Amino acid sequence: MLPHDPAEAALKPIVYIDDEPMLCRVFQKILTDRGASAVTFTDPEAALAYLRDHEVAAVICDYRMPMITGLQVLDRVAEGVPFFLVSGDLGITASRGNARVTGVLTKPFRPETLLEMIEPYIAIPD
Amino acid sequence: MGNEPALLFDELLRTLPLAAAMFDRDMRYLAHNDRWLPLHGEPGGPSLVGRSHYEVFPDLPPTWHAVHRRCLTEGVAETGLDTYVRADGRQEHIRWRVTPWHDGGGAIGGLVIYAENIGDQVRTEERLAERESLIRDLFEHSPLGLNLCRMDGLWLESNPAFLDIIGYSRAEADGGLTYWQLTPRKYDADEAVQLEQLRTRRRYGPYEKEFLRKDGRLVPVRLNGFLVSRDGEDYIWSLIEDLTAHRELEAKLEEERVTAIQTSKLATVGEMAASFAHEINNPLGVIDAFAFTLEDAIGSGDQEYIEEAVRSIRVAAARAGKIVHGLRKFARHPDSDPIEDVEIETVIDDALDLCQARIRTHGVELSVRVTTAGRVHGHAIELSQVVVNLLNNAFDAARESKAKWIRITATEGAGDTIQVAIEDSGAGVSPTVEASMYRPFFTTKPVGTGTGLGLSISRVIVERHRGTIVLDRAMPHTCFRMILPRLP
Repeated sequence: MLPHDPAEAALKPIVYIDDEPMLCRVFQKILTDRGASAVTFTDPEAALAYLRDHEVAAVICDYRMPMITGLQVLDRVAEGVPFFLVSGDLGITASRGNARVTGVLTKPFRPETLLEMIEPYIAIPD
Repeated sequence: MGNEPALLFDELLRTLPLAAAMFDRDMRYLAHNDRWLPLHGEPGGPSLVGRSHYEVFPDLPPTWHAVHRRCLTEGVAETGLDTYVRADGRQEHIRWRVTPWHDGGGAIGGLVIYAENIGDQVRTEERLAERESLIRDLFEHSPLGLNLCRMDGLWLESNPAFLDIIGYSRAEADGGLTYWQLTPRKYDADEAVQLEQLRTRRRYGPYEKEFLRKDGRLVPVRLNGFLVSRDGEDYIWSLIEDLTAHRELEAKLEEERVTAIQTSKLATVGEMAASFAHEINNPLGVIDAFAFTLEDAIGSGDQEYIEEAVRSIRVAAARAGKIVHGLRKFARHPDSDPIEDVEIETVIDDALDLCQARIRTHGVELSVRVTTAGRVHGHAIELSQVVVNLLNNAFDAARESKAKWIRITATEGAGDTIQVAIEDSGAGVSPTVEASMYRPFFTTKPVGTGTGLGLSISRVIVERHRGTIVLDRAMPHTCFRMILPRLP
């Protein structure tokens, strides 16, 4: 899909999936402040249901969640959707072999790093 | 019986309890009694009357010949005790008295010799002396302290081993020191118990106490003793074992055990490091991200959001702090884990502080049911370590299972015990694994993930607390029980 068309992306939301509600809340705010559209989910199944019905600009997904891992989520996301994996565990290397992972963010990461990585997928209004 | 002097003389001779013979000046037998005959080995032999003494006893020592001559010439009686070796090699011990007899005119008519073969008596004495020496050797060389004392505690006899223990010389101890002078007062109550045992059973011990040495040091000892009676008075024999080396060994073993427990605990923390990182990273991320948004929010004066952000930052910081606090408490040095009375719920809570986030993050359902306020006496952190080890095993088994659950229950058990049961939905423990699972370095986990020390150390810890750890085969799922004595 890259390079991305920002005009097109502007219409599509970024989906943020993390079982930590406070992280969902704050990244919703950060992404929205940047002018992006953001939808957050603490329940991966709800996110997957949403993804089935919506076109999205990108998915940012936590790796370690109670019922499912980020890679298992990825398996169920349509081909072609940019997918960023966020990992807090030490030594998670599973993503390296997975060509569908667009990028990996290792916790702890700065919000700037996330924004930088997601920048191409966000349409920032002039 | 008539009164004739000759008959009276014969009767006197016959009843005399000694061998006796009467000689003329030429040492020819005038008379002798039956006891005389065995002296030269011929009991019941023919009478010697008329024969020469020197002919009958050709091997008499020359000194005796001299005695006879002196006695005949000087008229003075002599006595003696002699050992002589007979021609056949036998040793004879003869106690004798040689005395002159006088005729009607007062002249020396010859000699009377009384003799007693005291060989048996001498041999008995020798045997006694030998036994005495054996017992003396035992007393002097025994590595066990031995002491005889009067009922009032005065020491009468102490062997070198006992003197070594108390650091006094024999001259200072025996007849000078009492048991009580060397017994610290803190043993008063224990002493009363031992004395009561002496009264009722005539023995006491095994009894462990300390003696106060001459140099002021306390020396740990184990005592056993019994009463003996002599001439109507009771005495106490005590056997005293120095426990210093024993105690040093115990202390060393305890130190090694504590080190092993601590090492295993730190290894457990290492194994759990990934999950701690996860649990700290999340709050850190929350704090950083909210702080990031605060700049803009302050600029735009979004008061409501500022308050939410500050609140969230504080919640996240507290959460991270709690994890670090739990970790620090768990990993702290054994010196900071004293023996105390601790509620079992606290033990479980401390373990949960470390484990529950990891368990829940991996989608394993965790239920905890504590139905006792019971307390146990022991090291709180060590006991938490057991719960952590059991929880980690349960977690590794449960996460691979379909149902994914762990149940912790703490209940009061039979016989004043507290039982902590940790049950999981895992595949269970095979009899082969069960046979080896308490062995150090035994693990069923993939290489690099388990040290194989969890269960072995857990068992060491539980047994240190006079408890047991069992795999409950009666339960449908894997269920380990830690059973500890409950404080009243």
